Amino acid sequence: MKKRTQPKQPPDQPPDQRSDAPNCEEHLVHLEKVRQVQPEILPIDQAQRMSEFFAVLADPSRLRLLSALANRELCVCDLAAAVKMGESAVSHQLRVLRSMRLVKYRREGRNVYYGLADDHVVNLYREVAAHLNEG
Amino acid sequence: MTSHRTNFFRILSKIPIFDYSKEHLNINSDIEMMRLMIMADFSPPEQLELQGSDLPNCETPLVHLDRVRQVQPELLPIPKAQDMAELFSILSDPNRLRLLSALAHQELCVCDLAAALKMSESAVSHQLRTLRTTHLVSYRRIGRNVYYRLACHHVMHLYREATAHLAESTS
Repeated sequence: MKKRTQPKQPPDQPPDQRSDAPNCEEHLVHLEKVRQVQPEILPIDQAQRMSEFFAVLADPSRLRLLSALANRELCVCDLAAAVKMGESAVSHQLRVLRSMRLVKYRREGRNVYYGLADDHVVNLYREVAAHLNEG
Repeated sequence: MTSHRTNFFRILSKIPIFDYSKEHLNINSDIEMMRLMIMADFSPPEQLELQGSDLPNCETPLVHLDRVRQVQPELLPIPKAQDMAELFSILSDPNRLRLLSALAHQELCVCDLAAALKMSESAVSHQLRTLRTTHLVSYRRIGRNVYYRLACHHVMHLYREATAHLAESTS
């Protein structure tokens, strides 16, 4: 049997990790594909902003607040009771979420109701939930 | 008014404090709800400060019991919230997002990705491995090449929704 030449792997990586991200046996760049994809790649400054946006979402209690707001508007008092957090803690997290325009509020009489900022946030939340349920 | 307050506090002191550290929270317990309502009525003065800040609160804090009950089954359970938070922390990396943006457009091999992003192949491999462990990308072999792509349509939609959201919030 002929022996196949394997591409060189960094020695510090154990074989099981290597197999997680296999590479081409022949290293060859498809120039036309690279040219096609180049304008689609997120510019560095935008990638930076998007990573900050996702960092705000990388917090369990903030995600629980968003899940509560996914289908209805709630005031801080309701949110605090629902997620079992203090009102000031809820206020603090809502402020962080508002800084990324994930939530918005409206006044109705003496109450202030919070809701998800737009459909993108609702869809984003649903897609992630669906992805995790599949995984 | 003062007598009302003392009465309220007397009631309050008789209601056992709920153990928030326990997983099996019985939110439907009416006593607990009563306690939350009473506490909300005697909210600390910091509430007043909040009204003036950019993040307003209700003028008369009052828990809507029916709404809280409604929301309870839809609330993300804590373990799921932690999984989701981990996924988002994987996504909160500019290089990984740039890789995903390239793969959102088309299937590519490591060599192409490295050339398109002007990163080394080993750096690309490293990030792809992280993305693969969270099931954000998958790969397939064609002949001697290995092509990477977004794992499923949810990842594609997720990326698009985030892009659309950020585009709107800056315009």
